[in-house]
Amino acid sequence: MGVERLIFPNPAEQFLTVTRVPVDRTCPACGSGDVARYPIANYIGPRIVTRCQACFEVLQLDVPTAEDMWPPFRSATYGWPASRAG
Amino acid sequence: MATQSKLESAGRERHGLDVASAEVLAFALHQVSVQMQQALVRSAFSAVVRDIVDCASSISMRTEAGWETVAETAPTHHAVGSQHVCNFVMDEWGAENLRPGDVIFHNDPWRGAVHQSDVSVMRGVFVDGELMFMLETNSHLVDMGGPIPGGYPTGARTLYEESIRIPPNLLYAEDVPVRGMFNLILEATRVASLNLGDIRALYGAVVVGDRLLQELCAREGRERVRSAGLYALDAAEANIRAAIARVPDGDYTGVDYMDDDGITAEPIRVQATIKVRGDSIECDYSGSERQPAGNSVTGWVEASRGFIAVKNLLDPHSLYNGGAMRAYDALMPPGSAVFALPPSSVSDHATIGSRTWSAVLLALNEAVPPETAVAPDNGQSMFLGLQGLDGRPGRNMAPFGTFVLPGIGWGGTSDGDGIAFSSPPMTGGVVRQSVYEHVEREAPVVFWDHSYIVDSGGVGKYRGGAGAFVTIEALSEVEITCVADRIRKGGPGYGGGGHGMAAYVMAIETGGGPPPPVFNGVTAVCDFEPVFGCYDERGRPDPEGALTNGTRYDVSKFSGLMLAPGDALRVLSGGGGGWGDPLQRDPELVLADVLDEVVSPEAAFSEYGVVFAVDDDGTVLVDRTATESRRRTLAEQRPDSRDRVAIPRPWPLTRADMERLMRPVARRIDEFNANGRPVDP
Repeated sequence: MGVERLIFPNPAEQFLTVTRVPVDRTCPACGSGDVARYPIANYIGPRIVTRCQACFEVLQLDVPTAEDMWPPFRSATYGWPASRAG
Repeated sequence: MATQSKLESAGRERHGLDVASAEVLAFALHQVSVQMQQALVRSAFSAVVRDIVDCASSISMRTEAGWETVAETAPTHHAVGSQHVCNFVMDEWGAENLRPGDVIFHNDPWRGAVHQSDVSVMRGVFVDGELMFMLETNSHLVDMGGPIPGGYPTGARTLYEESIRIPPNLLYAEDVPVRGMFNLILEATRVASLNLGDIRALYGAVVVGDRLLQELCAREGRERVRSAGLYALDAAEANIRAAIARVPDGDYTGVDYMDDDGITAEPIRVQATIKVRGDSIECDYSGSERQPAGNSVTGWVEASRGFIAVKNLLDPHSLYNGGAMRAYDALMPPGSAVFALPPSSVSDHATIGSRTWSAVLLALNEAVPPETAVAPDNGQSMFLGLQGLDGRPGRNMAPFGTFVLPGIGWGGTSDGDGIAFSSPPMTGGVVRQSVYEHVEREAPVVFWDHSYIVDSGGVGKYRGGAGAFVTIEALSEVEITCVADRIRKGGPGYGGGGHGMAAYVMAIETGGGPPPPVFNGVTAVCDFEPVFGCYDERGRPDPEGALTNGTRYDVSKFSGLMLAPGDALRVLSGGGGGWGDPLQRDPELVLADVLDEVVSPEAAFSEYGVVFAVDDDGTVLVDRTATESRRRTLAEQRPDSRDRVAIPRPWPLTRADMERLMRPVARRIDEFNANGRPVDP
């Protein structure tokens, strides 16, 4: 991990969308097959949710990994050993 | 009853407390946050904290999920994002690296700060050696450096052109000030004495919170207090879930626009789709425009700010904390207007914050019954920053910095007319207006006036709240920053109600003479120079006019406007949207508005269809027969008033026109009735 998540180019698209990636799972609450995985800001902060789109049952809630890039910004020193001053 | 039953259950079975004890202890936690807030406001040096109360205090507790805010005051200042700040900072800092008496400082919008001027001070509370709570106080500091004083550097395109951005750093190590951090803040900013006073107040407030929580835990027992914190979170969650469950499942979309980003006059689209399923909500900002070039966006805080509209509309009365956020998730496209990416400039949170609030409100208005729906406000604080060197005798050119928030009109509701003179609903009305006597003492200015604007509320059965105007004269050179929006139309109406008046700014040169006459915000065209707003070709404010008719700016946000001694700036903040058909408004309410000079006789006739008569003794009365006839005519001419935009009419061109406008209302009505139409110059 270094400085690659400090700055970003301006988007080329005029209107932007959060992509809900379909997941091949069935909702245990309502039986719907309309399940998707996507980044959210929940009550704690950034998370990746796998959720039934019919009833909003949460099938899985993950802390984002480096591959998720959510949120895009991350400090260059994230995960470094801490000194007394932080 | 279902909610009460759930509370009983939560208190006894989940947390081991009877509901009375749980309620008392949960409120004790809330009261600690109140005491923190009061300590902060009482001890701060700057008017922005002391008078405007642009600050907040919170207590977050470690739970299985992370850090959750169990109590907070002025949560809308945090945009209910205090626990996001706490989790960002503690995830990075590491709880194991924090010691008793350590205090962390930061102001990073990508770690949850509202903008760089809203700084956070955080302190851990260790009980029996365990880090149990994180306390946060935050406030707007008068200046955090950068090229433009005051924190709203309009025109900035990158974060490098804004106030300094400070990632989490130690401000106090075991209650000893970290000199390097203090020096960094005080030497990079313009008003060191105000900043030092406010930072010490922020620190003092978390010390107060630490002591009170230690006392509470010692008296009640640590585990009972922890249980009460969990109960408080569950109770807030239960309240908002019960409210959401009353909304029909579905997808509801609201769209609103920022007028501009301070660089170009291009509107910026903000879209919110509220998805309701059972007792949960997703707020999806997909469809919003990419981040504009200017600074009118934020780094993270819109993740929680839309929730304020949910709370305002669906559950406005219950005490709340971070537990309420458990029912709400936001989807924010990275790089969009609601979630800009570095190195974008992000310092003007006030514009995008109001627009995410209104987009969510407009979406929810589609979902709820009319008696619950609310018309939007005028959509911006109309922030003015005043900075410079004080050239008054005896002030020795000392640096000054202060703020003016004239207040705006909120939208009408099914219960009544919109609130006037308030900070936007996006702040919950928690942020107050300046105390002008204090501003006059601290800055080389004099306030001529501050009152509501006639005909500024959007027309409706319940009209929008009136906008406010304020005029500031400089006594020595003053640099002005202004952040506004809705300069094309004021807040939209609901259910056939009209738009409020748009915002305007005008410059007035006195040449050393007395101020020109003003009548409830209206000044003759000959006495002002348009700074921004829509004007007609003769220079009169007119929503059908253009942003470029003689104005200095075609945008609503500017920095670096210099007022010379004797020059004045008049700001008109605009009004809220109306609720319902104005032709259904009680004519007696219209009469009361006319006598209060909130509505003109001309607008009463043209917009509300109310005709007045004047008795022999000068008493103004509603002519009911003529009113019914007039209303029938208007109803045939227009199906509703949603396209009407409030504006004072007639707007005078000359001082002679002003004199006619300022005559007693009974005389105006007599002349009006004699002519059968408004007397418009």
